[in-house]
Amino acid sequence: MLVSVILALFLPCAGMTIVFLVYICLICYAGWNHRQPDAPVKPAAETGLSSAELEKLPVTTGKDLVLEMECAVCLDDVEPEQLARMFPGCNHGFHLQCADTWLSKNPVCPVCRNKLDTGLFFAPPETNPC
Amino acid sequence: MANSNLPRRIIKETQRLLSEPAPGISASPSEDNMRYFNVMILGPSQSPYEGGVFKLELFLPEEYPMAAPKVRFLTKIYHPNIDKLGRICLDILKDKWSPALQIRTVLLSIQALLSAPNPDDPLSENIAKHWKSNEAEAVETAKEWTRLYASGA
Repeated sequence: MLVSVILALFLPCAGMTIVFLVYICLICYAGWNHRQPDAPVKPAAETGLSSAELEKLPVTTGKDLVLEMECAVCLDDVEPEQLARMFPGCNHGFHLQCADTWLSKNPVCPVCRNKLDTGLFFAPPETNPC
Repeated sequence: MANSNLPRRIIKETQRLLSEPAPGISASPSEDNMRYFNVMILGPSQSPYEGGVFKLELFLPEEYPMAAPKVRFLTKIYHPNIDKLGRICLDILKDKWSPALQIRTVLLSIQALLSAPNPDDPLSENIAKHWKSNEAEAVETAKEWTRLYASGA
């Protein structure tokens, strides 16, 4: 009698514990699998530049732009005294603000889609040949 | 009101669109929302859409020009890259958007898409399948739909 009472109490508890443990394991497993694709840290170049990275880019003024005077982003002229960004490689120029708003989303030249070679500016000093 | 804070770029683009419209394309802003454009594209010659007048809607989101305009066909069209809701599969409207593109260039690209359907990157699976299995017949259907739905009447 006593044994059957103990069994009647013990078995459901044991069963529920097992079910609970399996459930926890599944959650952990799902969570782990879900995290895997995000695990490799994406380089900043694929998501846009941070403000710290933007600060490292060279700034110029309208009078030093070599190609167009009209900023293709806002369609206003880049005046000689206005701050500007000139993309290295393709030399397309834009207002500083216009270029940076875009670069913080996508580090490619708006005009030719030339990818901004961030390595030029963000390489750690020890890789610098100088 | 949405129009009170309209960026200068949008005003400039609108003025240029109205003063120098691209051939076969017209776009005019709605009176009560300057970010909403009523667009008409003529079906390009030598394409199954020739003779058709296609209505589209174009909306410039708040982030424009940092984000692409939202464009949709209002006229029913039989095209592998346009679905039955009028949504358009075009890279420059998605990940290939750039702020140097404009309303005009977007509409010219859509006009070019009518001349060059791309069934390998479909939005309408069935139409793309039709296009690949029997292009002549699919082109006939596209012409038929143009007559039925885009006659401009």
